[in-house]
Amino acid sequence: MGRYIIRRLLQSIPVLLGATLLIFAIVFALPGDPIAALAGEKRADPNIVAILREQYHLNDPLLLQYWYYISGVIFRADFGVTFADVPVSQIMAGKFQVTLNLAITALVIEALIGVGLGLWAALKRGKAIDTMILASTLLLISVPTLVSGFVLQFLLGVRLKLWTGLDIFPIAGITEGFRSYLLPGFVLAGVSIAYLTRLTRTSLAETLRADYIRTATAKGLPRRRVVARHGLRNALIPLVTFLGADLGNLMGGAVITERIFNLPGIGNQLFMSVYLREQPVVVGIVTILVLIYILANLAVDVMYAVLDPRIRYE
Amino acid sequence: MLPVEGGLGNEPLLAVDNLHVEFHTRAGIVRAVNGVSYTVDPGETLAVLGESGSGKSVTAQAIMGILDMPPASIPKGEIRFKGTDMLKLSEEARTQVRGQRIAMIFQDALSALNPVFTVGWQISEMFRVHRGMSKGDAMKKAVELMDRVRIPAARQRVNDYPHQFSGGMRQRIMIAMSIALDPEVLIADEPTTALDVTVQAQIMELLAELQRESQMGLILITHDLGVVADVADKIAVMYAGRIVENAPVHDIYRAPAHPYTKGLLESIPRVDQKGQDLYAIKGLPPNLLELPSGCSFNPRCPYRQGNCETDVPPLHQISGTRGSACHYWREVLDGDR
Amino acid sequence: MSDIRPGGPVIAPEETPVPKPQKKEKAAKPASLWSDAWHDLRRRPIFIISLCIIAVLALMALWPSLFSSVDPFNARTCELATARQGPSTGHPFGRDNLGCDLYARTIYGAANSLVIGISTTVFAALIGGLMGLIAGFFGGGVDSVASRITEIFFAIPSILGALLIGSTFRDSGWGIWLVVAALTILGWPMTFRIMRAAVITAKSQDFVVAARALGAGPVRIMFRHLLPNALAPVIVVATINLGGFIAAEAALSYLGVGVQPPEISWGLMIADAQRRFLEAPLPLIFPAVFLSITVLAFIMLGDAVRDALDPKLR
Repeated sequence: MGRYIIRRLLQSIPVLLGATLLIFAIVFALPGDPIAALAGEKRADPNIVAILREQYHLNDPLLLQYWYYISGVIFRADFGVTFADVPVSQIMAGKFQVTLNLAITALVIEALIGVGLGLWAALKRGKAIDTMILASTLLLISVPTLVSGFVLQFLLGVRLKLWTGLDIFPIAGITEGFRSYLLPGFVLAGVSIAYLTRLTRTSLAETLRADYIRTATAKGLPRRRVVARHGLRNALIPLVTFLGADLGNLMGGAVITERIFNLPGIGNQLFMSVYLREQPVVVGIVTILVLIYILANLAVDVMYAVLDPRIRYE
Repeated sequence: MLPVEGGLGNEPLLAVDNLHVEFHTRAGIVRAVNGVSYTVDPGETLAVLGESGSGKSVTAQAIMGILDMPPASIPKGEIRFKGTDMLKLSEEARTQVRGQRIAMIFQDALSALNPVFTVGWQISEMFRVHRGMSKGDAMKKAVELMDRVRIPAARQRVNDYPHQFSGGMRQRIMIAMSIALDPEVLIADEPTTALDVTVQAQIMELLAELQRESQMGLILITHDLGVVADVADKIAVMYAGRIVENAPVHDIYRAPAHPYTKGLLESIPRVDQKGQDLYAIKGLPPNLLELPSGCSFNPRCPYRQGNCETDVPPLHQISGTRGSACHYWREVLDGDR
Repeated sequence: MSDIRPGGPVIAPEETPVPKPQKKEKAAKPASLWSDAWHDLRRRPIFIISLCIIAVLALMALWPSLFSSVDPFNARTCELATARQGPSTGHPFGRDNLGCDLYARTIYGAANSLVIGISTTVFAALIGGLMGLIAGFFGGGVDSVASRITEIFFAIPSILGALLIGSTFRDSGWGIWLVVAALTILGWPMTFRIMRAAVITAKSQDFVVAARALGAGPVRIMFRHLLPNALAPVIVVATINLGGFIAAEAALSYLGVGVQPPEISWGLMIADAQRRFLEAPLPLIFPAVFLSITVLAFIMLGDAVRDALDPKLR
């Protein structure tokens, strides 16, 4: 197993390098001179501009610049400094915590609702409740985050307080701790909830048709045990792996939610950094997200082996 | 505690009586079992013979109560275990019978065993759930059972997963699980079909031995006449959801009383017929959605006469222990075609 | 005869108690897969409903003046004094933040959504499909290189990647085609994976082996034998993705890197309306509802097509 993980990590190096180079190249092509932008309204002293350009390697060819950057990341965990001389890692640290909190809240909500609804639908397959759950997944998939975010912010954040006096869901910021993440977490989870519901339903329904379920019934086990022990244990495998892979997606897709609820996460930061042309921050954030994607997928493969004894990685 | 008690009296251990099973599909009603009756006594082996779709497995699943209903339904018939009609029992009561009094083993042990639990866990589950044993005690019983079905190094292998065993060993595990609670009836649904020929013989031997020791009634479902001859006491031949012939095993091999049985026997390759063409029953198995009128076998039957297409033949009693559902069983018995 | 339904061959249990007489013709050959699917689709209410919605939307996109006599591109139809006025005669949805007629703008927004959604789907399917066909057919080194490249694109969070591309090339003057390009670049790998898997499955089937043995060239095998058999899953994924691309366009426009004013887009309208959302929700609600219904229509279409082409997933 250890050898498999090391091999997989080695294999993902080209993916990491390729993805970061791609981002680096796009960001490098961002219009405008970042040094000039730094100076703002005042005309910068040409000598200082020249020194700064030298300091940030802006006169070197793209590949060489990339090498300075990525070698710093790999060998010193150094994501560089912004043109205003603030370490990028310092800018990112708090922002990642916020996005991670948001993504994990979303993941928990997704797992609870998605698996719950999916199991319910699978056990009542073909009945009215099954059809209703399927129809609601269709709605969840169809309403874009952009829409559900604003609508829920309005209904649950503003109107609920107005009507009932209950202040459950803050509409913006993270000042209320855990509660601040509930509504954005649900909005971010929306589409994933629907997919997980469908996956759970198909997975359990398929498992319940398996021969070993018939065997478990023939063993005289109560129906509840047949479903809960023999069915669920097998149906769980694709669900856990879906959830594992989804953590990366949620973190990478949080920008809209963070904008709507004004959460100071990496999506929001990236959005602002793009406008402020803080190239090192943009590249740093995407690099870490690519790393998270790679690690999440590796974790999923390892989880497969843990959950399904038939799979052995050697 | 168990719902089914009482002496046997004249009742057989297990009696299937005029059983009908239908499947409601989009294409129409499939009549998979149309009035099947058979009995098994303690220590007796009944072989149920028939090709795919003849209803032999469906009958067995109806006995176990593991048919999916719907789409399946049982409009008519009785399944009596020690005199009690199982079809009238509550689902709870049937769960008590399943696995403990009547057990079943399946054709493909690899897919019939749960891939994510160890074989020891799966065998010991019987003791834990039905006997309330502790994990440790149940595991000890599982090792004993694996020894009993002669799995080498049982103590070490008890924590292995099904996919780590060979086909024959897996089927032994299946058997160990089914006999865990000393059932009175064991149904074996094509237990050797998925196995190599040499392994087939060992598994059949094991089943026969276990049955001798415990005096179980054994229902052996198969499409392979060769498997049947050594172990069965009596045979029920099924075709299109009906029993077309039942008889003690020797009678059938000596002189079949139904054209279908006769065809099956003649299509077994024999050493003394080397060089001759192998006999094959002509035509195709019937479509259960549209059974032929009259005798279901009539389109394929060399003995067919006018009334075969209109009258369904009843199961004629030929002797005390024999029956044939053929209008012309005498001609078949006499052997002239 | 081989069973050529997507998602791999359907393995029938050795002894099925229920014979399925219609199965034989169903599995016969791809031509009957399509006619079967069509026959199946025509009787699905979900398919009919989604087609009707899409037809209305298409009419809106092609001929918006049929629905609205106000020309939203004419600045003189806006009156700042009437900003955020509620519905009134002649202005059934009311007016937006600039006092422009909301109904006309909502109607005219359909065109960009549909054009971007459909073009992205087609381009992503063409690029991903072609690359998948080549990678799956040739295998070996070609396949490894192509697969590594797609992994790089998978590793980049798509909405952030599109945000970067959009902001970098904002001044390129490509208009909505920049959005199409950004979404295509990040969307094609999905089709690639599906096509590659389907081609690898189809490649080992007897009729392909036979065609090869008879001396058919690689191009002929790819386009005459493999493509028709691998097409079904690609079409399913493409239809489902279409709704996703439309939602992504709105998200990018909301972030300011999608459709640019004075062009009209539902995402832009939402971005514009959200600043005064709490006092005047209608300017946000109307484009949001149209956006959701459009996405819903395509997701329903995708669901129906998948169910018809891939009965196993039902």
